[in-house]
Amino acid sequence: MLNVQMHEVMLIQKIPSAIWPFLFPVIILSIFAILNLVIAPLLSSKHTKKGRTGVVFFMAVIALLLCTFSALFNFTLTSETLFAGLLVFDNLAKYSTIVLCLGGLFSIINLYESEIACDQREETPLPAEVYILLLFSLIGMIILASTTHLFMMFVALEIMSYSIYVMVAIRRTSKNSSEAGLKYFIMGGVSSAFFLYGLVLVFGNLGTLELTKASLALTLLNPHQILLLIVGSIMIIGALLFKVGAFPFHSWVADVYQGANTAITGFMASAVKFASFIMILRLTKYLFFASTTASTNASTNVSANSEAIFLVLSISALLTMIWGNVLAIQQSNIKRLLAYSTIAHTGYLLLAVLASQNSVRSFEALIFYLTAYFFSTLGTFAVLSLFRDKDDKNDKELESELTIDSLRGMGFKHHLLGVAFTLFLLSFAGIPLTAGFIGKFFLFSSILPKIHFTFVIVAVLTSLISLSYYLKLIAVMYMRGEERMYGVVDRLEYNPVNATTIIISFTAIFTLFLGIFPGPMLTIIASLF
Amino acid sequence: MLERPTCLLSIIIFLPSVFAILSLLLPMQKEWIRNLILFSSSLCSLLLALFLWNIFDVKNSGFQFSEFHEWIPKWGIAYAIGVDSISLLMVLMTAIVAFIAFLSTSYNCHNHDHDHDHDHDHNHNHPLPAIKYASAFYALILFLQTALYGTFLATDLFLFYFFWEIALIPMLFIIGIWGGSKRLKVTIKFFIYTLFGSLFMLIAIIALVAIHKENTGVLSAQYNILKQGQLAAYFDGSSPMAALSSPQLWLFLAFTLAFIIKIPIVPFHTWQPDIYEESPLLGAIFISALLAKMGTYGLLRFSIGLFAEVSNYISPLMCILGIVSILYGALCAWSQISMKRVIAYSSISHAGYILVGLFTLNAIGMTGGLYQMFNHALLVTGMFLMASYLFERVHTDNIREMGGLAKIIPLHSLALFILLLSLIALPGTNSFVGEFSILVGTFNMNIRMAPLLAFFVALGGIFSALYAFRFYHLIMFGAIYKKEKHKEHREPFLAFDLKIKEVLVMGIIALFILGLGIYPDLFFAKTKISITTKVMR
Amino acid sequence: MNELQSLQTSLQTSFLPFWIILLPLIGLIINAVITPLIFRGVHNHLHKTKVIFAGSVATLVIFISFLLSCYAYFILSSNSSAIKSPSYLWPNIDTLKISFQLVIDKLSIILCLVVTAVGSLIHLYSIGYMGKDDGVVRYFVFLNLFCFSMLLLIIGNSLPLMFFGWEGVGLCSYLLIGFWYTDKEKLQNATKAFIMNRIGDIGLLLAMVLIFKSIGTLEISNINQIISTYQSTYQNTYQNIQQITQQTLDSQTITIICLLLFVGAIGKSAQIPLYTWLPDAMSGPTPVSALIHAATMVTAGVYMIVRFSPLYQASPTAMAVIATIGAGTALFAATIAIAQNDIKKVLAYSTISQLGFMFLACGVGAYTAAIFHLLTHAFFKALLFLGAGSVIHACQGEQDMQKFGGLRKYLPHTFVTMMIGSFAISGLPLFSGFFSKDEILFSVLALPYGGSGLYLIATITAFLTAIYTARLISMTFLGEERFTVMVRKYLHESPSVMLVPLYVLAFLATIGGIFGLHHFLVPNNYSEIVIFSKLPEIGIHLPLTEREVMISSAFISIVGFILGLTLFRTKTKESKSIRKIFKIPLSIQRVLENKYYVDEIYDYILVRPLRLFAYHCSIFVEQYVFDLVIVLLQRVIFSLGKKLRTLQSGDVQMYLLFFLLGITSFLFLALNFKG
Repeated sequence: MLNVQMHEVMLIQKIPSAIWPFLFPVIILSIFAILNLVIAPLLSSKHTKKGRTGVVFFMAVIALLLCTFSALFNFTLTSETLFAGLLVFDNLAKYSTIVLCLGGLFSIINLYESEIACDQREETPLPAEVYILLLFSLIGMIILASTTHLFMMFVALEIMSYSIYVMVAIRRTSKNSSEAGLKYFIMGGVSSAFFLYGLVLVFGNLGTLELTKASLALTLLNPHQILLLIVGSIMIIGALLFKVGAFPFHSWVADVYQGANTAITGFMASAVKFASFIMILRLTKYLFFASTTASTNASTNVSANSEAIFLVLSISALLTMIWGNVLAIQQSNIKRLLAYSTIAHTGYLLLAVLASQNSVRSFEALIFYLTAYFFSTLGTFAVLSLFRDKDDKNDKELESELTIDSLRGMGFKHHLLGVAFTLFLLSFAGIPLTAGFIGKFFLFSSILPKIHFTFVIVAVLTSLISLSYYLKLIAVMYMRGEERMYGVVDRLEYNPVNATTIIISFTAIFTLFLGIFPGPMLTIIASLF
Repeated sequence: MLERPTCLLSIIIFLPSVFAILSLLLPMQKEWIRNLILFSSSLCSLLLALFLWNIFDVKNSGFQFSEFHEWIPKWGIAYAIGVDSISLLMVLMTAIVAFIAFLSTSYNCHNHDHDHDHDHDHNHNHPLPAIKYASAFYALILFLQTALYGTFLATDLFLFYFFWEIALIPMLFIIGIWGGSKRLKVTIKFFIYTLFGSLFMLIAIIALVAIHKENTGVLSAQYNILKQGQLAAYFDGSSPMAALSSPQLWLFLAFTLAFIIKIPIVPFHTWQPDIYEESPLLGAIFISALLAKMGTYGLLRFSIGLFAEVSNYISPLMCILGIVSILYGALCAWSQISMKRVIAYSSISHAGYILVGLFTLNAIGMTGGLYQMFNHALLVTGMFLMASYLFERVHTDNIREMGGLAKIIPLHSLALFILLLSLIALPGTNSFVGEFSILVGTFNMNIRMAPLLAFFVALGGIFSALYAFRFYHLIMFGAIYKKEKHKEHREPFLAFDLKIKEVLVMGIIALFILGLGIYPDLFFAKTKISITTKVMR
Repeated sequence: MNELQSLQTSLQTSFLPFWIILLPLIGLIINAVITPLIFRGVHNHLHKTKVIFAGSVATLVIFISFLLSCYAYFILSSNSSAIKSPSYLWPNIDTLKISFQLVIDKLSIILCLVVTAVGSLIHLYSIGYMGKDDGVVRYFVFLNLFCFSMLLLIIGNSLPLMFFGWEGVGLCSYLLIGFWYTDKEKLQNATKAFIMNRIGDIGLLLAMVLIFKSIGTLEISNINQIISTYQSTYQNTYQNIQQITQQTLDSQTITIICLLLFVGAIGKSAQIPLYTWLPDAMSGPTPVSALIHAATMVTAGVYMIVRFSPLYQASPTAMAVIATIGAGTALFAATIAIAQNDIKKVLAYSTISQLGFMFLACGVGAYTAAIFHLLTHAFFKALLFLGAGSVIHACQGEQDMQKFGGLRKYLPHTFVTMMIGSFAISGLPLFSGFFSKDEILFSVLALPYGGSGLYLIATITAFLTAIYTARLISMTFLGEERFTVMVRKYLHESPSVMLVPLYVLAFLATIGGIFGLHHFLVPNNYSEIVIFSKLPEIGIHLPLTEREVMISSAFISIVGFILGLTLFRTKTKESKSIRKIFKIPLSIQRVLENKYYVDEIYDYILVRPLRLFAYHCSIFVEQYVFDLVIVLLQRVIFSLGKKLRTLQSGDVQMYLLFFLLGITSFLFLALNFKG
């Protein structure tokens, strides 16, 4: 019998005035998105192609700027819960909205700059809708990051995912991107189905979709219900692991990342992953490893759930690390290589999630590592978005064909790009002077005493393996012999002072700053929990 | 006496990076700018090091001139630096080696064999063209110096690891970009090999700080504080099995693994000969003389300093490891054909001596080991300089293709001979004093097989003589140079013997070798007190 | 005990020892730096003056230090027992405090005199001998360096300082053997010499370390003092020395110390196991062989044992070992010397055999006799070598005796001096060799450590010595002329600058015996340093008085000499080989000629396998043992990657299958292992 309490029914209360500022980011984004939707077809096609998308792009940038400032402003306000628990604006939500807005801003600029670059190469430019879709997905992410209500999560997840599916397939003419988009859509659909089914099971047993109340509800369950609860949470975990690209559900990552436009891949790899991990963090905190927060007397049946989840997550974390790194060595295409490296990083992040079973500090490690990874990925894909390479079969230069060899000699030709790219790769590898190193150090020091030692050993060994392909990239940029000095890098003529280079230098300096002075960022992250 | 300067150490550490930035900005292609920058930077570092050397008072054995600034308070990590007699010596060594290296290579410092395109101008008075991207090259070298000073002066474990890793990045690019022909594969192997060790050291540092926090509740990565932590409880040497299960042993092994890979010692040395062969001259000097000493310094400071019980328990094993690398290194050096590979294996052999010296765990042996670190740094710098000068004259690195050079270039043979004396530790050279103290130290170890160990350490003397003389004969003596391939432009090229600057450089090294051999107290005066009290607790 | 007190009181500290050492160093620096500067770029026309300038600087410097040694000798013989030089602490770590101090006492002054006297004569000689060589300045630099290290070895007070000189001398012998470095053969011999010395030095090093651990100090005077105090406290006689029960210094460690020191002596003075380098060292210039490989360096081993005589006195086993090895080497080398055809090889083996004699003397405890023989041997062996040098010089570098013969008419002076030298070495009465050899023979008989067996071997060796020396004289100077016409054309007597040293040495070889006559050398000269074992009138082993021993040894040497002269003086053109003379089968002669194939055995057992091992070490072990882990790791990861890559086929159905499999396996795991 579903024991549904009456007050659970959502009543549209009057929104108290204090909560408005929290909603501003979402409201601004949606207003501008809809406005763009209206303007885009109106602008007649006689404008030059660049003109047509220029206006939409400009509007989107304004939206993002406003949204970032309001998010920054919100950070000072005290945290609130809204709509009877649907949206909770705690510090974590505020922090992630800032980061996500920044992510969106950088990706849009990358997208636009790479489109300008491709104009000279008579490629069909992306239609204006891509910017609008980006705004929509950003709305989804922000809501996703600031809710603890399961149903709200599902809605936000779907908003985000659908706009991403279309963004991936936006370049209709190119076979790769449409194939990637379709693949991503099908897989996404299946995973949403599982998420929904899991959600229903959890709701059926717990009686409440409110995660904060879940721990109380857990105590009242009888063993039979626990069994179903476990099945439900496994299914939710499955969907989450798919979203993040962890082991059993990772196969889509490589093809989609290669197929999509480089800037969009950057957006996916950083913002989508960031939002998904925030979601995983909230779920583990309240539902899966609730035993830490719940009262001790309910520990028997609660621990059953967390035990199962721990087992599943540990298997997935281990195999993701190994799988990502081992396959990355094989790749010759840069985007596929970076795809596998993102899978590897998902493995390390899952380790932090694992360790959170008995220490809050590993959540901080998770967030720090995520932020460092976020900005490095953005920077990396910003650098890559400037290049195209010819496939040997057809002479058209495609993004998806960007092989490692095409970057030959970049270090000498474009000094800024070379140095920045090296810095990002070192940050991925976890070499000091970069945020990645501090992230890894924080990760290891938080998980070391908590979980079994083999995880740390596997993490260390796999990060060594990852070092080999990061070094291969650095080597190709700097250390090739003299005979064939430059690859496709040679053909790139870009004026050094354009928006992408600003973004690249911002992310590079941020990675360097975080690597040398992590103190202030650590205090901010500590305040999140 | 002037008030003891507080931020002297930070200046020493970051001065070279200031010059590095300068070198990035200025066009280092021009010779006079390059000479100016290099000479002034190395001179300043040397003067600072000497200033530090004489105002350092030997009496108190703790860290002097120490500075402490909070860095990451949440994890108890601080920018804490300080100098005691061990790091004092290392700083001075780095300064001297850098001074010699810069003095001698200001105009020709790259590996020739891969740039075939530039023409072979035969009038030797016009110096060879400087390397490509000279400003980047020298910036990296100077930046490497900062990392080295940082490693030697850091008293915070995390800061030590931080500088330890940073020293790798310039090395990666120096060898990767300006190295020899097959540098790519070799550099990646070297980088991953070294990082393999250091990552485990990172884990050990984290575990050590965690254990210390559990014990004493104090969260700090300071060397002094960690040293007081009661680690003894974590090791019981009752039986080998018990020892194996005690955590302190694993911490010790993790630290020692990183240091042994860096030095390198026999089982982990396969990266070294290729790197020495492929790296440019300045890179080779820095990696062989200074980066190797980071390993031995780490052993002395951290492996032995922090884990005294384990080092007592494991010291015979480490001595055996040292002896194996003495004999193995010498044997391999005996059958090498390329000059740099002979130098590589001979430095493995010398590293073995240092390892044995350190793990005798008595004052004489350890001071001997420390002294040998200093001598070997100078020796290997001299050898690499000679290798580069000879390469310039004879255009081949293969010693089988040389011969009879003594008659043509006598000054070279004299310089190489003095280096050889130090190599085989002839009495009267500095290495004899070092090796004799190591021998005495090994003999005085209070374990049953001490005499046997001492015998093998002494045996190393024979093997080193074997390969040293073979190496010398193939280059300098025997029939006059018979290589046809280089026949056509052999005679004019070979005409010139050591130039003034080269003679000056070799003179300085010879002065050190013979001077410290006759009057070693110059060195021992500053290291006496601290070795005996501090490390031995 | 009173002698020891006198040792302490009458110590004078003066800079004399420093000057004796520094003079050769000054000569070295002048020749190394100033001479090349003065004669920069001058080629042959000024060559003569360059040789004379460098030679005279080198000779003068050694001669002045000779005068200083004489002056020191007069100070010592007046009353004071030793001259100490001011000292500073050499390596002084924690407990290892070694002072850089030079001490001249009664024993070392004799060696100083020998080294400087013979040294200056040989420097003078080599001006003539090395005149035409272009590397002559380098030659004199090395020679001076040798004298410096030899003197340091002699008067260095602490063991490491002695070791300083010890290895310095080894280095100079390497440099001088391989002086003509363009010839591969000579380089091989030079390295062999240095390595063999180094093998011996290992023994010395370990002895030093053992002494430091058990006795605590490395100063030689202190060591002797500590040992002699033990002996005097126990009023030991030869029998009960073993009762020294002091904990660290039991007799067992003393024996080990003595044996290790003896290993060093074997390496340096070319005794049985490590002697093969001395005959090959003859490939250096002849004056070098005269100075280094006859008179001074090779005797360093004997000097060291005499210097540590209290130590040896305390361990009878070590004494026995030394005696037997000494006697064995003497006989062994003598048998080889007979069959050698190269003039310098004969003299080399005769040096080894005479050194055997000296070690035999030390072994039986007659240290004074050993030093006396060392003294006389230095003179006549240097004389013989220089004579041989002038013969070789005359025959344009020809060294094979079979190509000499009948040189008496062409080289009268050399013949006369060589004749005196051979009289002295074979021990004919009235010549120095006789007195010193007789001293040894009698002490072998008289002293308790000796033995009749040893006496027998000694006499046989003395007989053989007389024979091969006479053979040398007769094959080179007497009999038919066997040299080629070309040689005859340039055959000339050596210049006077070479003959003067020959005559001086001849004079010393004759009167040397009287100068060192046992009675004349008043015992108190040595007693403080050397444990003087008073020679009893009647031999303990064989009831022969000293006079009978003297007569018998005189008789043996005369018979041997005459036999050698007559048998090998040939009438016919080609020389008579020993096979025909002594009617021994061809195989034995070949064995003797090839030095019992000892060289080949060493090479086969030690050198070749080591080289093979080293070669395989550097090739095989490097790749397949140490790199194996890395190569395997790489291959495993790559193959794993390839296999996994096939899974990434790219079609969506495969991915969905993966997805569902993932979920079901998770559910299965979660439900089963949730407990």
